[in-house]
Amino acid sequence: MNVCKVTVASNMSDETYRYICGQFEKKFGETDFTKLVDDSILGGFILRFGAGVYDLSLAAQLKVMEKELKT
Amino acid sequence: MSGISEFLKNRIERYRFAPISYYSGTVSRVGDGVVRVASLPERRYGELLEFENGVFGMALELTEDGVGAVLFDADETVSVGSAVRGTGTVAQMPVGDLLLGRVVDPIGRPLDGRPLEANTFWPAERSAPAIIDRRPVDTPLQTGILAIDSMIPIGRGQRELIIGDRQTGKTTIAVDAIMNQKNTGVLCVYCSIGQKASTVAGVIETLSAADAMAHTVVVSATAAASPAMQYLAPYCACTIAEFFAAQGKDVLVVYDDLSKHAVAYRTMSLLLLRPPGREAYPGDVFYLHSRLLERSACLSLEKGGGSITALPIVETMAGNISAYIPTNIISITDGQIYLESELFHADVRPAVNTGLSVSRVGRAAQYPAMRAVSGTLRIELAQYREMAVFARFGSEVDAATKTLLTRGENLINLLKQNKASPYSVFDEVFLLLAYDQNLFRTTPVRAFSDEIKRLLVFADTACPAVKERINGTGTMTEEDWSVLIDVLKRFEASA
Amino acid sequence: MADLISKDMIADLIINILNILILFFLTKALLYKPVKKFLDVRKTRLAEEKQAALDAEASAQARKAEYDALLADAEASKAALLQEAEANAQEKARQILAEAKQKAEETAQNAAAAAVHEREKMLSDARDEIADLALEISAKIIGREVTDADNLAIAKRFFGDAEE
Repeated sequence: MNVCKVTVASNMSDETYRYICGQFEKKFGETDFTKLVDDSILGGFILRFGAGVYDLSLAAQLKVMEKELKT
Repeated sequence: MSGISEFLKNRIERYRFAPISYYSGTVSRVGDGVVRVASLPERRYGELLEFENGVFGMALELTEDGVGAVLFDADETVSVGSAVRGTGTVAQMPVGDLLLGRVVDPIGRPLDGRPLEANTFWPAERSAPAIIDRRPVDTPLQTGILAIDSMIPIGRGQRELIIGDRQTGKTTIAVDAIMNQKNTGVLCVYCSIGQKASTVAGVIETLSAADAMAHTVVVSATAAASPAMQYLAPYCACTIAEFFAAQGKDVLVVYDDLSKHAVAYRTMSLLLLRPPGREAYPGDVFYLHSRLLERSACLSLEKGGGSITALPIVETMAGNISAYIPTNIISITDGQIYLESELFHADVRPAVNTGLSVSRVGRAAQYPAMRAVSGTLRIELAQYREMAVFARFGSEVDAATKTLLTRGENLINLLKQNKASPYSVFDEVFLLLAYDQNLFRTTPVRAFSDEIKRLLVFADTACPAVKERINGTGTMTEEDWSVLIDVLKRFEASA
Repeated sequence: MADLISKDMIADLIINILNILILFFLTKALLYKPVKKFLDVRKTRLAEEKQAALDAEASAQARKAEYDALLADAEASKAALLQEAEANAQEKARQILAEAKQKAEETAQNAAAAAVHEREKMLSDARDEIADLALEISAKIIGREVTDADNLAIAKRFFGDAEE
C-alpha cells in the first residue's frame, strides 16, 4: 500500500486530479492519496511518495529556466 | 545591451519542459554545521546535497535511517523539517585555463568579484596515478632560493614538505617559488586552508605585484569558512592541477597549510560523532593526507609527460617535528625543508636548517651546472658547525681550521637572501663558483649583499653569452668554466 | 859717550819694552782675541743666516712647484669626475625614465584589464537582473493564465511518457 501526497494549485479541477490518481495507481498499485493545495506552484502538480518526488509544477520549471538564464 | 537580450532569447528558445524527479528528505537535526537528514535513500558518499535557499552540504555519513551531512555555508537558513535534495553529483570543481589568474573557493565560486563561467568540471576526489603511469623525477623545479636549489633541490613531480614553527618564512618560500615560475611554463596553484583572510589578500597582492597571477590559481578557504570547505580545499586544488598535468604541463601546488587542514577534518569528524584517536584526530587522518599527496606525481610520457609538484606546508609547535601530523606527512613526502626560529631570529633568512633538511630526489633533479658547483656545500657546512663551537670562545686555532671557519661563515652569509628576490640559474651557479674560488674571504658581513650585487652586475656585462647558455640549458662547458673563472679574477682585481 | 847711555836708561828701556810687550800680550789676550772671536762668531752667524734664508727660499720654490703640479692634477681629475658624474646622472635619468614609462604602461594595461573586468561584471549583473525581472513577470502571468486544461495536458504528457 503506497502513500502519496499530491500538491496542486487551486486551478486544478477535480477531474484532472482523479485522472492523475488513477494513472498513478495504474503504475504503482493501490495508493492512499492526500491532496494539498498550494498556489505557489502556479500550476501542474507535485507527487511525493516516500523520499521520491516527481515535480511537475510550473514553479519548478521557472526555477529551471532561472538556472538556464543565469549561468 | 542587445547582446543581453540575444543571449536571453537564445536560452529561452532552448528551454524544453521536462519533468524533474529527485529524492527528497527532511532535515531531522541541525547544529554546529552538521545536519542529519531522514529518509534520503540512494545517496553516494561525498555527494552534494542541496538545502532550501541554495545552501549546499556534503553527505559524509550514510546510514540506514538517514544521511549525515556537513554544510558548506552558514546554517541559519536550514531548519528542522526543511527539504533536502540530492544533486546526484559528488563535490566537483571547475577546471581549465579560465581559472588562471582567478581566486576561487573550494566549490568553484569566484572570490575576486568577477563572474566565472566554466564548462568543464572534474570531481574533487580522484584516484592517484597508477604505478605504471609514472616516471622518475628528472627535471629541476627552480625555486630561485640559493639555499634550496643548491642543497635541497626540488624536482618536478616531487613532494617536498616545508615545515617549521610559526613566522619562520614557510609561506614566503612557497610564494617565492611560485613567483620564480614566471615564463617557465610551470603553472601554479596556491591553496590556502584556514588562513586569515588578510594573509591571503597579502599573498595575492604579492603575486600580482610580481606579475605572477597570470600563471597562478588561488583556491581559498579562510578560517571563517566551514570545516567542510577547509576540508575540501586541497583536494579541489589538486584537481585543478591534475587537469593541467593531463595536458602535459608541469604544475606546482602549494598547500598552506596541512596542519589547519587536519584540524578542520578533526572538527568535522568530531561533530559527526566519529570516534577520536590520538590527539583527538580521527583514525583516517593519515589517509586524509596520503591520498592527497599521492596525486602529485611525474606522469609517464604515455600519459602526456606532465607533472604535479607539491609543496605542502606544516606548522609545528616549538620545533617539535615528532608530533603526530608532522611525522605523518614527513613519511609521505619525498623530503622536507626544515625552518628554525633560532636561525630566523639570528637573521639567517631563509632560516633553513640544512642539516635536518633533505630532498630524497636529490641531485638527479639539479641542472648539471649546479651539480658541478654544489657538491661539497653540505659537508662544508656540517664541518663548520662542528668547529664553530671553538670559534665562539675565541680560542686560537690553526690555519686549516681558520680557513674552514672563514669559509663556513662566508657560505652562510652567501646563502642569506631577501624575500621576493629570486636568483636565476646563472646567478646561483656563478655565486657558488665565486665561493668555491674563495672570492669572499675578505668580505665583511655587512658588505656581503652589496658585494653579491656588484658581482652579479659585473657578470652581466662581462659574460652575457655564458649567462644566457646556463640560464637556457642549465649546462656548462669546460670553456664556460674557464671564462667564468677569468671573470672572477677580473672582478677581484677591479675591487 | 858712555855717560849718555846709563845703566838706568837701559833698565828703563828694557822695562819699558817689557811693559809694552806685556801690554801688547795682555791686550792681545784680553782685548784683541775676544773681540776677534766675537767678530768671527758674528761673521759665521751672519753667513749661516744667509745660507738658511737661501735654503728656505729654495725649498719654498720647490714646494710651490709641487703644489702647482698637484693643482693641475686636481683640476684634471675634477674635470674627469664631473664628466663621469654627468654621464652617470644621465644614465640614471634615462633608467628612471624608462622605468617610469614601463610602470605607466603596466598601469595602463592593468587599468584596461580592470575596465574589461568591470564591464564583464556589469553585463553579468545586468543580465541577472533582467532574467529575474522576466521570471517574476512570467510567474505573475502564469499564475493568472494557467487553466485546468493545461494541468490535464501536463498530466497526460507525464503519464504518457511514464508509460512508455
